[in-house]
Amino acid sequence: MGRLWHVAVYLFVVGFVLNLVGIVGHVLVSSFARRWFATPLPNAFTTAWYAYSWREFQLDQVLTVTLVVAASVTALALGLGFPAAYLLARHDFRAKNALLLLFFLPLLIPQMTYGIPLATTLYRYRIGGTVAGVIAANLVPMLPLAIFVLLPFFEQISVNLEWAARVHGASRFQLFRRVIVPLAVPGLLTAGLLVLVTTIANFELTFLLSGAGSQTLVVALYYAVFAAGMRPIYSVDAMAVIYMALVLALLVLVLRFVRPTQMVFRLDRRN
Amino acid sequence: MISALSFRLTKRFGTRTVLDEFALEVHGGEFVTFLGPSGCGKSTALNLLAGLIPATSGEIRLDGSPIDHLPPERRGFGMVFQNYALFPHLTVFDNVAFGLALRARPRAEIAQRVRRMLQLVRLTEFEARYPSQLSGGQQQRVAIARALAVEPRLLLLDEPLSNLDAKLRLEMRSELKRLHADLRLTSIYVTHDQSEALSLSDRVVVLRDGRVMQVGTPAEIHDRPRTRFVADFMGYRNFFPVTVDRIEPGGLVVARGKDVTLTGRPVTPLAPGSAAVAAVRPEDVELTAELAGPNVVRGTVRLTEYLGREHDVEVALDSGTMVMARVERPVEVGSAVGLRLPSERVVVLPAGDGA
Repeated sequence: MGRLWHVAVYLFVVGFVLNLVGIVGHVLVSSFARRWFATPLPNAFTTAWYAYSWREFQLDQVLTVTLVVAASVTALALGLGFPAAYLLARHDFRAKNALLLLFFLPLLIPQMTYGIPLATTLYRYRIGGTVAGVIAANLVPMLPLAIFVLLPFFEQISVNLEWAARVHGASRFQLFRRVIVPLAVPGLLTAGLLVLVTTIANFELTFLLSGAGSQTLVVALYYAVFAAGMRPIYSVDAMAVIYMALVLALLVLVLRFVRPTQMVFRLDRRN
Repeated sequence: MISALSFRLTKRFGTRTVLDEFALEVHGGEFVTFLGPSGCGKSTALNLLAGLIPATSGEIRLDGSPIDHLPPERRGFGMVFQNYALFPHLTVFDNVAFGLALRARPRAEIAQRVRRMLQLVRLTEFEARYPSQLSGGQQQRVAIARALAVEPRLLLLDEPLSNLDAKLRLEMRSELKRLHADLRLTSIYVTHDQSEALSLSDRVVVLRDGRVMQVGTPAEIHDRPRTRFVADFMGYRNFFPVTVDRIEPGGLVVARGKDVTLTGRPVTPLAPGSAAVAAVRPEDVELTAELAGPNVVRGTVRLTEYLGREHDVEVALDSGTMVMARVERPVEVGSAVGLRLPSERVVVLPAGDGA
């Protein structure tokens, strides 16, 4: 019985990996194929589709937008999330739990539900369709994410540490520079990387807000597949591989610093 | 070195008064202890002095000039916390150097002073370690070195020994005593432990519910508690409600209770006929062969506890009152004993707990 179970699990894992390798492998192989029809493998390989898609889909511009959006959202989410999380960790007030729940909502509910009214509003103010609009829309779920990741990091910094720093000569500013920020570095790193990856991977909000010059890689990929006109499938596959490589590289980076099991959102009070 | 610190502080959290017009004058070089149970306001008083929380009203003067408006970093104090509060991201050296680095002292001077401080607390070989690599006692010594390094005008210690185990606590107590004897820093020490207060202090302030119950030298507090609360805190376990009968020519008071007629020392003037409480420590109760007489009570042993050198004995008097005694020779449970309450060891306090 136990043996049978082991075999079943083993088969399942093998099947899962094969499936994944099959899908990813197919895209990967196709992106390098000169052409690929009824044969198990293409007859000839080329890297020409990468050059083609880079040119055709203006990937230099798309990648620049993607990185600008991701970097700006990360910087703003950390810049605004840091003081917010610090204040939430240090002060107890009556509406705190309600406020935290309110912050949590953009992370809980599907992005489409608030994305469309948000897009309508932003287009009305002529921010929609611009890079700034994409950044603003992405901040709606990313700022709460940054706050929630940072909050437990601040909560575990004892108030006595701050007091010890103050008594022994640290001004408020020096307290932050010499004690709070160094102790919050793991939190900032965790929050920053998570926001970065999530922003790069975000489709709905970016899709709703981006115009011609403000598409990120995912959205450009979507248009490459579904927009009118004929494109060689190999070039779309090349673009998909570029996207996968980018996300994979970031994911490896994230997992070096963030242990997913350590990510616990604490909503209860301290002590 | 400061020559005087004086303060008068009131602190309310909402409607709750934590400190009520707590006023004191501390002399330069003095070691003063705030002693009281948890919630008496002693730690709050310390945090107010440090400037870490704002006072509701009152003022603090250092050498005559008010310092209330100064933020904590400009008061020039040192502070030691119960949970050490060492910076986990800094080495022992950098922890001790923290205050000096902020004062932008020359690097060589900082290194020299840090090494001297580490020598003082006997941690020289640990300067490259991080706090998490140290034992609790070592961490607290680093915290003390950090507070001393800034040459504080006033040293504040908030239950610095409470997190240590019993043996280490005694060691650290002697170490603190030695440091104060060497440096003569004006120090304010907060504790709920009467033995710490007695052994370390020049003066003890007993606090209860944010009010001063008694201020005095350790000996005064120990031998002449002025209220039942202070007596209780100082180890008096036996309390007899009595009525003052007369005052003897030597100043001793003769008081009559339902269990016994006692002669004892009054700590405040008492008028004949007034209600009072006679108090005596278990250590001062003696076994006696007499079963009646002045300052002698009689009862049955209910419980004995072997402590090694001594025995704690619980004796039920005929009236039902329990008397605790600490005696050197064993007694049997159930046996009838006489207990003498030596009149020089009995204190007579006014009834009620007026401050």
